[in-house]
Amino acid sequence: MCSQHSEPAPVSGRRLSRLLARWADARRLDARQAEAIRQRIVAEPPPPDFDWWWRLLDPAGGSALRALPSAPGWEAGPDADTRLFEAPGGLSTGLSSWAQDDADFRPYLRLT
Amino acid sequence: MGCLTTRSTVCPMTGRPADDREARFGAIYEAHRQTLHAYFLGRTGDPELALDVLQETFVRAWRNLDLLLGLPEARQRAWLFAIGRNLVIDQYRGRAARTAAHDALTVAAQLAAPAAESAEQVVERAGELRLIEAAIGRLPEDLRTVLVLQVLGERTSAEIGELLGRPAGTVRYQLSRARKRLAQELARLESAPETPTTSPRSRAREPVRERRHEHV
Repeated sequence: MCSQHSEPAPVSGRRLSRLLARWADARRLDARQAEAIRQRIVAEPPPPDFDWWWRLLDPAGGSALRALPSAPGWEAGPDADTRLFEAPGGLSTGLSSWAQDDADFRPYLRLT
Repeated sequence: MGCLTTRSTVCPMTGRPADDREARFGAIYEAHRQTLHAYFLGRTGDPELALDVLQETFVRAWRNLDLLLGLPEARQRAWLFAIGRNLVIDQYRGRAARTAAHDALTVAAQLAAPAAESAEQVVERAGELRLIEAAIGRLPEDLRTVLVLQVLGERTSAEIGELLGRPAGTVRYQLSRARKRLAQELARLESAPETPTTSPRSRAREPVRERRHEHV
C-alpha cells in the first residue's frame, strides 16, 4: 500500500531531452505553415480608420483641406443665405460646404 | 486589353511600392516569429491560442509597419513583445470569438508520422508527444515560459533573460527547476492508471487546457 503512494522515479535527463526535442519538432512552425500565416496577415485590410484619415488630411487634396478654400466667401465673406454661424476667429462656414454629398466629408461632420 | 492590377501598388503614406512593404514585413516576421511563437506557447500552454496570438501580433505589426521600420531591431522585438504580452492578457480575460490560424494548421498534420514508420511506432510516438505536452502543461507558467523559449524558441538563458526582463542567472535556475519538475511530472503521468497514451489525437490538448485553468 505504501508503494502506491511513493513518488515514481523521475525520467532520466537524457530521455527528457529527447522527448523535449521531439515535442519541439512537432510544435515548431514549418516553412509552409509560417508562410500560410504570413499570407493571411498581409491579406488583412488596412486599419478601418487609416484611409478615412488619409483622405481627410492628405496635404495634396485631402477633403478637409480641399473644402476650406472652396467654401463660398472664404475670402469675400460667406453668402448670407447659406451662412450657418461665424466662428469667433472670423472663420466662416457656409452651408454649401457642409452640405456636400462627398462621402469623404460625412465622417468629419459626425465628429464635429 | 489593358493590364490593370487591382491592387494598390504604392503606399500613400510612404510612397514605397506595396511589394517592398511586404518584403520588409516578411523580414521582420521571419526574424521574430519563432521566438514569439515559443513565448506565446509558453505563456498560454495552448497551441491553438498561441497561434492565434502570434497571428494577431503580426497583424498589428503589419498595420503599424511604418512605425516598426523606423525602429532598430532590438526595439522592434520589444514592440512586438509588448503587443504580444497585452494580447495574451486579453486572451486570458476572454478568448476572442474569431477563428484563426489553427483552421489551416492542425496539430494532426504535425503529428502525422513519416511514411517509413510502422503503425506501432506512430502510436508510440503520438503517445509520447501527448505525454510530454501534458507534462509541460502542468508546469507553472513562469517555468513553462522559460523552458519553451529555450526548447522551441532556441534562445539562450541570456536572451531569455533579456526578453523577460530577468537576470540570466535567474533564468538558468528556472530552467533547471523546470526540467526537474518536468521529469517528475512525466514519471507521474506514465505511472498513472489513465496515462493519455491510448486516447485519440483529438484528446491531445485536453490535459494542457485543464491544467491551464488551474494555474489562472
